[in-house]
Amino acid sequence: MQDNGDNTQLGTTSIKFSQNSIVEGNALSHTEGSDEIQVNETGIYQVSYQLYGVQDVTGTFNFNAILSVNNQPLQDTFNESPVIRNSTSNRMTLTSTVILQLQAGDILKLNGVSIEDISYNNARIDIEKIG
Amino acid sequence: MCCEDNIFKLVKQLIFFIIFILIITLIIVYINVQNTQNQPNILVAIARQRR
Repeated sequence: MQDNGDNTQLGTTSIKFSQNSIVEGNALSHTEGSDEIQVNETGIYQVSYQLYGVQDVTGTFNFNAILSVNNQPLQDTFNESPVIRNSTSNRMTLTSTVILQLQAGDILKLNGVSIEDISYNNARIDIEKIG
Repeated sequence: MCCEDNIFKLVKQLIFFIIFILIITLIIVYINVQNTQNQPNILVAIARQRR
């Protein structure tokens, strides 16, 4: 079945979001279809995400998620799935909530990281400026 | 003497009026700033698989 999702790159990739379901205020902006979330105001932000990874071939199932700011990965947001060997088909959703101090002009991204052929079929990110 | 008293009174009233307007203006500016700061800033973005 042809996969025409927002994210067709397997393994390691930044996650593109095609739809903004809620946008309030001016502190954050995002162009639908882009992987970049623009921070317009310096402050404290609560970031929650869900990343759904799928592998439909036989092999080792494992993927990770990490947030990056200005293309620099935030190592303490690294989120790992279990490593399942000889897996024929597997799927999992990684979730996390972190609080970040961000500056005006920062670019935030959610990234999937894997050496396996993992496809990222669904994802969402919820961000609120809390301070 | 009479005219000088009237002028003095008018000037005093004018100064009080200007101070009053300044206070009202400051209150309005303060309320607007508070409203801007209390505005929520939220973004929810979703990625989907389209088949």
